[in-house]
Amino acid sequence: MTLQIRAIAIYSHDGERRDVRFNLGALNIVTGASKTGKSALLDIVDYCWGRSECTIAEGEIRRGVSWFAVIFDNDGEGILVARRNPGPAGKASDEIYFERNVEDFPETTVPLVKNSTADGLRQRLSAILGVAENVHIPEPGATRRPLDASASQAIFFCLQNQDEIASRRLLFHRQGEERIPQAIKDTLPYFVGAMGEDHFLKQKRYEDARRRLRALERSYADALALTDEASGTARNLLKEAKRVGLLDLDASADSLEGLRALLGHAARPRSLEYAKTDDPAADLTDLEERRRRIRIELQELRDDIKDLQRLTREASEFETEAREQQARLASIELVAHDATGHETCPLCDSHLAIAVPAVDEIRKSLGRLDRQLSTVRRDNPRLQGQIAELEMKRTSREVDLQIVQGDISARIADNERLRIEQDQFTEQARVAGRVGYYLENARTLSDGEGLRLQVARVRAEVGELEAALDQEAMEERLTTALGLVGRDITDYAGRLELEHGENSLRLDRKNLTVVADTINGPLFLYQIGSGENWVGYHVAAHLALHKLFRTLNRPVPAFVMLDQPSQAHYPKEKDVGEISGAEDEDQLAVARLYRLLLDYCVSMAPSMQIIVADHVDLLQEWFRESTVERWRDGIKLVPMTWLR
Amino acid sequence: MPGQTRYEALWRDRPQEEAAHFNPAFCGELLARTIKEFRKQAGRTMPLVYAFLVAPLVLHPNARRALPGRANTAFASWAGDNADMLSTLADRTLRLRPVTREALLFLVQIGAAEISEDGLGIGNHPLKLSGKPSASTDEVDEMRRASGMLGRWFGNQADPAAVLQAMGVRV
Repeated sequence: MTLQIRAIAIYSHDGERRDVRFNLGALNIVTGASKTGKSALLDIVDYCWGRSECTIAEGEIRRGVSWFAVIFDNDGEGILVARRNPGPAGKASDEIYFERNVEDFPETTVPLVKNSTADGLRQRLSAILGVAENVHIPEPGATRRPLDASASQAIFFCLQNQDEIASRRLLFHRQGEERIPQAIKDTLPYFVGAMGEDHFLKQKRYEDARRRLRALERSYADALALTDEASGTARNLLKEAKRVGLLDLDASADSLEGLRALLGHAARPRSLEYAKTDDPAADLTDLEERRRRIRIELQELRDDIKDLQRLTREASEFETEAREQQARLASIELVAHDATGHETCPLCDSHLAIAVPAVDEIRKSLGRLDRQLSTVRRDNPRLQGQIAELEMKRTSREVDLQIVQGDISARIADNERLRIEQDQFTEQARVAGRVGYYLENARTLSDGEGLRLQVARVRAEVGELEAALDQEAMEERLTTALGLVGRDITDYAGRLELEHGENSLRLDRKNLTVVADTINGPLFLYQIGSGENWVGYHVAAHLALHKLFRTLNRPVPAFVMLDQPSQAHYPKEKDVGEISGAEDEDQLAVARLYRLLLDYCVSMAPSMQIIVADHVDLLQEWFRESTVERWRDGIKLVPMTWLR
Repeated sequence: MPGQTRYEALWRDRPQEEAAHFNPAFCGELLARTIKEFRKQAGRTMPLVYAFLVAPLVLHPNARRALPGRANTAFASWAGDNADMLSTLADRTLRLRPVTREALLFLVQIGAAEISEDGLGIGNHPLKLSGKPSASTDEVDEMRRASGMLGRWFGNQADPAAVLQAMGVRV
């Protein structure tokens, strides 16, 4: 498979066409003065390859052209890609016309209608190139998404515009843009063939197998852990079953099987029977009500007794007082006879203002007191009797209260016992449930053997796929491939007589640059001076890479487009035009470069095409033969007539 | 003095309690016992002023308890020991004066005592002090003993004026 460029064409707004045709498998030189549109050729190819941005310089071309078109040659098959000019200031157009098996450009723009998008175009080109399904999985932890190599990356190896070819830091096309260097690094292993064509499939299978293995291993580990725990758990359950009375206290087993049998016994269904009493709480309420009534009664009795006792006390107080009076009045009994004339003074016979009481009078008083005291004595026994009666009643009530109190205590104890009993039944049910659950799980554990075999099988599968994928092997293949490229770079650098060209050179995949391995250590391209060297190493690196691509028939277009490789010697503004190529060092160097390109194409023929746009014009036969266009004296890419 | 007015009423119109507690028969009996014991101890009639000290010292429980158990107790030292009780004795003596007077009159009327220039003596119809009344209480018995002892104690004293002075009493 070689994909080369058969021709580039532009259409005017009126539908006129201007072609630039190239030879396949050969060096094609487009020489001409400045501002004739040489650089646009590269940009047109880039644009028609599906680039999301039109980089064709503003000016005559953007103003005067309606469509850009390229016919690629895919082993003799013409592939037409036409894309509308986005116009001045336009970024890109999605109007793309794609057609396979064409002989030549259509005469006018009439047939050019949109039949593809940029994405679609890239996919078709990838398919034509033969880019197999592939994917670069970034190392774990990287934030970029997996990238599959496609035509979009393949083109990076084929183009070198005038800024890039002389850059000391950028080796590849668009390397200076964001994310592009990583894309080149990630896809390089695929393009140099270090990654097998079925790598993608293997990778997918490997990931799938790994995922399955992880799941299985997890299940297996769980199963193992459960088995390990099983005996301990079973022992604990046995202990609990004994505690709650599901098993006899002396039940024990030596083996796990025996243990399970015991547990099965413990978990068997059973009827739970316990005393079905009438509502114990209601009973208790009755008793408490009775107690309350008795207490009220007792209180009333005590109050009554207290009242009576108060009465008794009062009576006795009266009695004491009366007795005192009686005792004092009783002195009258000591008087021997009744005396008279108590109203007169016995000493002076005068009338007393206050008569001395007569003996009779005092005797009467004594008699009255005697009667009162006898009444008190009569009352008192009655009170005592009443108190005695009440106290008896109180005693019997107190006995009643004690009985009720006892009943209540007994009832509470009863209830407590019932509650404990119920708790125990609940506990038994709970433990029985746990044992049942354990036994159920323990049964499934016996299937662990099948799981183990499955794990082993998938592990073997993963190992096999891993070996097939072997990242290390891939790295080694990549190193080997890049070693081959380095050898060729060294070869071409020597032929170009570049500085440090005598050292061993290699392509640094990590930094995407060329490194000269000197005795003083690696020397990177940007550390090497002189624009001549930069251009030379760019050319050498690309030629070497493409040699590898072609040798391995990798899906990379079989052409290289270089823009102004002579700029190191002849800057753009110093248009020398024709030179002999042998008059000074610069001329010799330029001649050496072109000669290398020519020889390269010849040695690779017909599988490599090189298209160079430059303003030097070597006056040598082989150069003339390779020149396909010479744009001087008013001849340029866009005809003057289009810009009326 | 409000208490004094009660003894201005006739005995039967007085409150029963007072009439009974301070009835002239009882108070007279106590006086008679003091007179009798005085005469036995001193061999002469008792000075009248002593009669007015009997009721206040014997009827009042605190005063009665303060009295010495024996008749030969030194009067001066006893008075010094019982200054607290004696501080209220004058007032009590003053209030009970109508009671004592009534009792004396009663005794004279029934002939149980006679009053001469020398003092108080036993009359023609003395009270039957050895007899036992139909009713008695411990307190009344105590008072009887106390009044007898008082008679003996007074009988041991030489000068009634000194006794009255020690007691802080003016009749």
